[in-house]
Amino acid sequence: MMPHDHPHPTSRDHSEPRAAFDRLLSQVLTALDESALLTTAEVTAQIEDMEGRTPTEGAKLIARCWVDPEFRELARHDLPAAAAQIGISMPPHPVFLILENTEDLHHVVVCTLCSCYPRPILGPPPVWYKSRNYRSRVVKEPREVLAEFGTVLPAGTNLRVVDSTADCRYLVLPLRPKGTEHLAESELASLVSRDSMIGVTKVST
Amino acid sequence: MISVRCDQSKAPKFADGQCVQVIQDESLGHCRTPLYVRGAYGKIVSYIGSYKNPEDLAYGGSGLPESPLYWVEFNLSELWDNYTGDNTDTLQVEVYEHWLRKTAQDK
Amino acid sequence: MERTHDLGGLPAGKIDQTEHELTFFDKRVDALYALLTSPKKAAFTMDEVRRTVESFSQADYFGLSYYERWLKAMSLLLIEKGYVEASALDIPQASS
Repeated sequence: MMPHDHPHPTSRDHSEPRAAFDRLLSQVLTALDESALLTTAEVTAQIEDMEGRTPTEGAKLIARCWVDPEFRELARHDLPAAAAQIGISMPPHPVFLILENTEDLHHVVVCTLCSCYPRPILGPPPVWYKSRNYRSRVVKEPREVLAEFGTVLPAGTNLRVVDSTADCRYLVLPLRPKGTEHLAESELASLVSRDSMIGVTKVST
Repeated sequence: MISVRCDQSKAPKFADGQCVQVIQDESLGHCRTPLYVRGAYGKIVSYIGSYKNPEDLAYGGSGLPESPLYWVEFNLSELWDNYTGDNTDTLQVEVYEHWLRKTAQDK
Repeated sequence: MERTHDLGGLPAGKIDQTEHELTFFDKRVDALYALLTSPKKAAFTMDEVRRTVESFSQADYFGLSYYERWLKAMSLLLIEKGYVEASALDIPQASS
């Protein structure tokens, strides 16, 4: 892991853990091992499972939706079943859903209360998604926030901000860029960024 | 357990498209209704399903009976004074039934 | 409860989009959270973790890193629910 020395002016959304917390983690792991509630091997296996869940997996799902109308229909009604077809296992709860962007409607997702995110498909959320500034602002000035990410919606596009407050987790299905009819599914997947599946950006070629 | 099951099958109280107001409650304790929509007027998009009540789960309870959950849509230009985006911009939030009350259709 | 965590609409600044790799510490805390709240282990619920994080002072809520907050909350819950003796864990107190 590379050390980093850039400043964190507003809050410690991210930083290297301090020694006291490193020690606490060791104590917790030891205590859990002794209590038979959890073994260190299970923790290691869980880390490995999570490392296989990345935006690359989400991008495969999006590209399949673009090229396969039947798959898209399945993803609309049963996202875990669709995800299973491309090898992504998902728990039965919370409820996982896609939000389909169209020429007329753009979605952007936030969790203002904590950090709800479609982890089984995208992995852990980026630091900015969990940050005080994103969570505060995107429900009040979403177009300014999108502009910070370089996204300007055409006039007449409806914008829907979706606050993930309870039992649902959302994956934005971005609009397929024009002029990509000749691309293979894997090439399409390589265009799909994590941020476009949160809805702060669009997919472009 | 059986009686709880019966309770869970009760029909959702609000219909799609119905106008609702989020209850303005200065609730103490854990809940999943953000402050910024409390007291706000919105519209039921649809019933999602019934889920364990987080206000009970948070304190070690079973979360039962399950509580009906809805997508509620708000117009951002009505939600915020001096909203700078477009009049058509909306916000969709998941809200439990016990946080909602009926309003006149024309507010 | 102050609802320090309830951030929607509050004044805030520019979003720092710097990418960060998760540290080994972050990954282990993330794994602990996933396992302990899973239906299989069910040591406590996600909402219990949230309730505990939400009870933190502003100094802790904004002063701790994301995974430090989770670890502190889970540690408090492990004690509260009787899985671990309080004497086994040195939980850092809120900084001022």
